Amino acid sequence: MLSLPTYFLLFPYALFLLGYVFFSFANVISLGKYGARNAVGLMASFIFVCGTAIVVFMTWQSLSAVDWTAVVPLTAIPVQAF
Amino acid sequence: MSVSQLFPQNPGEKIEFSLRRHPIVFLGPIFVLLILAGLPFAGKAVIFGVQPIVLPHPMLDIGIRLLASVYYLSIWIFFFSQFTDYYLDIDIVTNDRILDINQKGLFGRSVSELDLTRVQDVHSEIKGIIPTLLNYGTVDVQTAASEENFHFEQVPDPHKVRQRILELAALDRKREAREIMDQPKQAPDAAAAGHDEMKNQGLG
Repeated sequence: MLSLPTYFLLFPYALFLLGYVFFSFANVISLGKYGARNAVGLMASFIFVCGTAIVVFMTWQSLSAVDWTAVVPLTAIPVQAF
Repeated sequence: MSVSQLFPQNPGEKIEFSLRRHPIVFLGPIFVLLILAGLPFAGKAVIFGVQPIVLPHPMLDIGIRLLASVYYLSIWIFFFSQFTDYYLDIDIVTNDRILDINQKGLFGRSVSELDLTRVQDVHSEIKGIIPTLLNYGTVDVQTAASEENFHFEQVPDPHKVRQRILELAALDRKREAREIMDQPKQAPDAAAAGHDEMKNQGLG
């Protein structure tokens, strides 16, 4: 029977996070380079980092119970979620 | 970093004021962020109601949670990019010129400048209920027909800005006229030097 390891789903997510980090740096560097190296720019960057941390933490929390090493057959039984 | 560090200034040039769009215009992206953040919850409530969702595969549960994370991070970075775009757009008026610095997305930036002596007309406009209440609007700086006009959008106190630009343009024209008036004293020497040079080249 065809099956897939659970951690397989983390690859596209990691790819997205790479892009996210790139664009975050581009934003923060633009702010610093073009005149926002002041309280407003620092505060905006801080709020952005906090927001990112909250989303990542909530994702981690909601997936903490997942066994990433488990191999799930593609024809598994339906589950109740949310 | 102050505004003065954004561009190299000529000797004697002084920054009179700088303009950004009125902070109230940033409420637009904030509303968009809030609506987009609430959309998944509203969608779930409308489509599934209070009933628990049954997914046909256990991996879908993980996939949806990861997808939600991607969605929220995407709207968050979109919002931050909007702020960067808003905050880095700036118009600077000095006693000599006007600079229009425009941030175009994350990887684009344009800087245009206009000498105050070239200003022909300045037009300011406040249109709409909210702009009237909060006193913000547009300022159009018009130059000679073939040249590009400057357009300051959603700046606070546009009428005062127009008045100030016109005053500064008049002062700059006066200063330039004074400089031209002072020039003829040196002109005969320059003309003589030019004549000698032409003679040396066998042209005069």
